Amino acid sequence: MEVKVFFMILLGTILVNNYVLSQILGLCPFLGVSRKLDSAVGMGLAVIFVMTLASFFTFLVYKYVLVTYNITFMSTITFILIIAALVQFVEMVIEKISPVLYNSLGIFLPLITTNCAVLGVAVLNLKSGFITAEMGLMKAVVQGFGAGVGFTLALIIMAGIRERLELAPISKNLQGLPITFMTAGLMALAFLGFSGMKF
Amino acid sequence: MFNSIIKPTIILTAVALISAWLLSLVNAVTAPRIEAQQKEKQKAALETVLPGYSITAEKKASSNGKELQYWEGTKTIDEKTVHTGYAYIASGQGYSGEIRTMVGVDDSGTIIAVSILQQTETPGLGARCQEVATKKTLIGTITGDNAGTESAVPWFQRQFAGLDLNMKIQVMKKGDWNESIKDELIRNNALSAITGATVTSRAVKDSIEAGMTLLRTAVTFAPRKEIAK
Amino acid sequence: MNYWKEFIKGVWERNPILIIGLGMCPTLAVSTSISNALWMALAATFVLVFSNIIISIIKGLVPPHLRIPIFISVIATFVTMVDLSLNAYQPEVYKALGIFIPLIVVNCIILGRAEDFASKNGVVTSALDGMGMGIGFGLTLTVLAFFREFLGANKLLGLTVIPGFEPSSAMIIAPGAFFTLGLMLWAMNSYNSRRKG
Repeated sequence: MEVKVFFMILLGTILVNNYVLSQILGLCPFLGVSRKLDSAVGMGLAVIFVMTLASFFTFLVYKYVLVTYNITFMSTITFILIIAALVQFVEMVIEKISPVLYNSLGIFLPLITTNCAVLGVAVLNLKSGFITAEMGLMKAVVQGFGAGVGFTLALIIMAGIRERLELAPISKNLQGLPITFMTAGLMALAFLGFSGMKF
Repeated sequence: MFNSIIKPTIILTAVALISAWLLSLVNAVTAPRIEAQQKEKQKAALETVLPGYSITAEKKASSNGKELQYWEGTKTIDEKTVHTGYAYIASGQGYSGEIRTMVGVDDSGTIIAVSILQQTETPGLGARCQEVATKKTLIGTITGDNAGTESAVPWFQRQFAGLDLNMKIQVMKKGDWNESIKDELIRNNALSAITGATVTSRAVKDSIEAGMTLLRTAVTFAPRKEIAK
Repeated sequence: MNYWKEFIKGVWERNPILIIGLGMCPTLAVSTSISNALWMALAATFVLVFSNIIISIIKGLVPPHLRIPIFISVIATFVTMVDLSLNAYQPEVYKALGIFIPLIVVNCIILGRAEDFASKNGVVTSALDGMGMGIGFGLTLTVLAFFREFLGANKLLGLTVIPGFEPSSAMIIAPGAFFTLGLMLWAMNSYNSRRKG
């Protein structure tokens, strides 16, 4: 039973309610970092990492600090500061531990603070009622991880398509953002097919 | 040392304190209103699912470590007949998060009405469980043709009324609910799923049935056989 | 005259969505209906104007390396004010906009304007800049919402337009959002390149 719930959250966030293609979150990096496949993979990994951690910490802080002291109205400002601090911290740790990883991920980390999918997953964890639910922390972390994977999936597919688009003859006025949005629309349409999935 | 660590800390703390102070002022103004609204919402939901009933008690039923909050209400028809109705909050896992539904049942276990309190489903698909089917048109508004009032109950929720919880509720794919398929659905004890959001529809149905199972541990229902036929 | 220029540039010439390409997430997610678009524009404009004002006032006091955290705190404060007031006075709107109200914090338009403009300019011009950007954002949002609400729900401002016409619900959800914005950007590129000759 419990496993099924987690599986459903995971499947929901990766495919059915894909953060980029269905909930329309995290478009700035989705459009900005999808020109090359390598950088898309790097960005994706960094986002998975930060989203999972952000879900964990924002959940704990919300449940045990903000609710306890009855200051839930501070949640937005607290979350964004947690995320900013987290990103900063992750950046420093990676730099110390693995300079190789830092060289490939480093430039993406500062961008993640303003990735609205990260703040989005923190806020959605609240709205999904995980705070009062049993095993809420697990659910929140799974949702954070799934959201990151879903984001990465969309980003990688998009990067693959855009690398091909570079070579395609496209009318001048359609080049750049317009054709990217059309592609994203077609991808979203394809992902819509998952919404009929049964368990 | 001072310039690199202590000074930034002091500045950031000051900024955080000022913003916390400002927000606590705003919160002091808005919090009572938000709370009043939530109470109002619950009251309105209770009135929707138990129309004409007066709430007499607020109780809790529990079994297997699961808890269910429910309300008991009575409706006086005449001096001899007093109907008892129950309202409970069912919650189920949809595609994205919890869907909370308030359900009203009468003493025979038939649904009086349901009201979806909270959902975070996909806009345009699952979120249509709260959509009201309106016949008002733009041209009608301009020409002043939109006379008459409409039921404000969303169509997805309206079709639950009259379903018998003593049997399994079926989910059929008939498209949007309308008067013409009403009889067929009631005959089959079924509801019509939202197009493209069968999972949402099922989640609502399942949560209502699960809540009913819990409610049965505290309340006995007397199925009306003659109506079921 | 100069003030007018600072104000009007956000509407077309430096339109935050169409030209600079910022703030895509709320643009696409909230443009499902005109009323949602207008409320979102109002909320974002409020935050833009006031965070621009505050930041242009405190710009001299902020140490350079603490700029971003402080700007974000200022923005988050105003966003929370909007969040609380909408929840208290416009619960329906609050429900419809959902998580996109707290997400105004990470709307790149607002932090972008704070960084690029308010931290370098005076109070009055910053306020005007914020207002212009807010209106440009709102106008684009409304145009998008017009097409999506009409084609996707056969409604305008919540009222049915053509009775009996079956709308294409794909327009209301994500694919329609991407297509509409893609087409809008295409149309704008074509217009601009034709004008240039």
